Amino acid sequence: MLQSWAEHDQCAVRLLLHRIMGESVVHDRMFHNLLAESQFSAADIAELLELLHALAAQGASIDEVCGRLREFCTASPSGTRRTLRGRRAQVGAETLGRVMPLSTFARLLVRARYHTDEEEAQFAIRAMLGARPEDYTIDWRSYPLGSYAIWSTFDEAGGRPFGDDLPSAAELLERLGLEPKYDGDLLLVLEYRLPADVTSRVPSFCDAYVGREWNAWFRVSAHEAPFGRTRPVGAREARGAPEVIHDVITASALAAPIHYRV
Amino acid sequence: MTDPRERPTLLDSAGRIRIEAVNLLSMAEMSSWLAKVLLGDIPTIGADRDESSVDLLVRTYHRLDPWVRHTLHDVLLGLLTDLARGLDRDGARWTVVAAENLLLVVASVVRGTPSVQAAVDLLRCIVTAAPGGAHDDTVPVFALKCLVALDHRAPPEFWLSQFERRGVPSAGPVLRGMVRWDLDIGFRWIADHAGDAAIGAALRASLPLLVDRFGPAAIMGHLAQLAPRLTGEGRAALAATSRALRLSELPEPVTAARAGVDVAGNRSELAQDPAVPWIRYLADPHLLHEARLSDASDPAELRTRLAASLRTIDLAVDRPRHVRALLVLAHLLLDPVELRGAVERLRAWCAGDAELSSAKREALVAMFEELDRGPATPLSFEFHACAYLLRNKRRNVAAEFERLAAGLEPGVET
Repeated sequence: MLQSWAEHDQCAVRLLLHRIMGESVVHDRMFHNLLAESQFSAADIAELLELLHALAAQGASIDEVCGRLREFCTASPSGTRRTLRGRRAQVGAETLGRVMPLSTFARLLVRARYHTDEEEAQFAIRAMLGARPEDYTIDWRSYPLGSYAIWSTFDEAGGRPFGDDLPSAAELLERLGLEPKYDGDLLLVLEYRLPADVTSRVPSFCDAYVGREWNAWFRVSAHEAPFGRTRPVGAREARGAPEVIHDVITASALAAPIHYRV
Repeated sequence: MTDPRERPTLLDSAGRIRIEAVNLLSMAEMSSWLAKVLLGDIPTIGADRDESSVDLLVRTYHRLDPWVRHTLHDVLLGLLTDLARGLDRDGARWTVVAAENLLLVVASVVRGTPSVQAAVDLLRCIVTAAPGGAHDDTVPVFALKCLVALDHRAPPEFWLSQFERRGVPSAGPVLRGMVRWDLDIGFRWIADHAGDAAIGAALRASLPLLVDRFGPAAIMGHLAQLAPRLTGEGRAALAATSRALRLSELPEPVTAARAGVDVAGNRSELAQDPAVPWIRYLADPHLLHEARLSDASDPAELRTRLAASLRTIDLAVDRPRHVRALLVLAHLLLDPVELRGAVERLRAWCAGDAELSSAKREALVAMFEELDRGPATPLSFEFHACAYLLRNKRRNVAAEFERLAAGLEPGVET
């Protein structure tokens, strides 16, 4: 992105970013991603440039810069959201998949008002484990499988997202660039078909940094890439798994029983 | 603003939270960091893709040294105190989302620790906070859920008052709180609200946990009693859930003959054990109707004991089912004196309550409808009229009681 700017613009922004990139690895990664993002529109870039100029001119703090960038990611001044606006992903598989710790899923259902507390939600989820999706009750079918947006993977060869023989929890987490779960928690493996009205997209900078939770592993996809890629945790040189993002779907989209790994 | 020198030390070279760095934080530093994360003042760096700040904090908590976890408990109690103090103040720093984050963390990490009682005390302060504050009912209802998560055992009066105050959003925690106190009481409350979709949903949501805690036989016994009172839709949803949980099938709606058998069993139990609380009987007008119809063996004794119970019911407790039981009992006795006494007590109960609360109104409507469906008496029309007027909010209920009481004056056949 930066290469297309005028030289004096580049200088001002580089000075601002230089100060901020030394803050932490996560900040560093965020600004590399900002500069490498190829999915911004011309209008996005113009607004971003104006924003960064203003922040540089006023000597904004790091927190302020991060906060304003989050606002930028949320929506344009006209109110159009900037998340889930990446290119349509080319998914060569019938089913997509994601993994999620049981405790995270349980808290998600508590926050979404489906359950009173984490324990109750965990029992409800455990009752679903191994059951055929066609046997789910109406209540269960309405469970959201994520909040705000869902990050998902698939098998490039067109098979099931995690293969027919599920890898261990550690392998799954490493491949997908996810943090290790804590002892005693289960890692849930979800496989689903996207409903016809939901589009999977190439994850963008705004998808990754719109929230208040940032991870060090996201990297923007290459120019015109058909989908994103995860950044494996343990072996960075290893090839990441395909990665797409889409709107929140419910358990009615599940295509296979929920399995788990310890 | 965060001191920039602090934050890099919390992350390792890969961007993950360094547990050893968190272990070294002072209490003040930990409090400041935790508050900023929960309030969204700083990015929760080190989180997974769609992991919330709560998930990250809970995951971090489980990796901390044991003594640091105690410090974290104290920090959380301090933040809870801050939340409780600021709840009814404009401009308080805890937004609803931040408050929910805090309560979720407390629910996840404080349970089963020595800090539970202190957390419960603070949460009870939050749920009893004056209504109409900046957060409306959202935060108090979430605090109720947190109390449930901490396994707080409070008497039914506490949960009922919360339901009356906060309505449908509190159905889940109220149900769990009632059941935590006593499974029978919990299911009687559910039966009293059998037509309420929110309570039906709360029951289905909690069913896997209840089955685990009380066993399938006990739960199925209660569901079988509850099923006839449910709407068709509610019954179908409950049957589907119990099937999915591989419980036995819900029975078909109870017939009069079958209810008679149940009543006989209950009466036999009562006869053998005079200590059995009468309220178990009183709470179930359906059973009482059936009891009267099927009780041909010893009606005198039953009436004597019911009349004695009737006079001991304390309306001041303000339990809707007590109120309902009061009139049902009086009606069953078909004793003009007892019935007049019951009506007068109800009238006193409603005195000064020109605008009945919805829960009280609902309880009264249910009561009159129950009576209206009971055996025909000269008062049946009054019951029907009261239910209609209350349901349609046409008149002040006190006036209806005047009419009802007038119908019981000496000389009027009852």
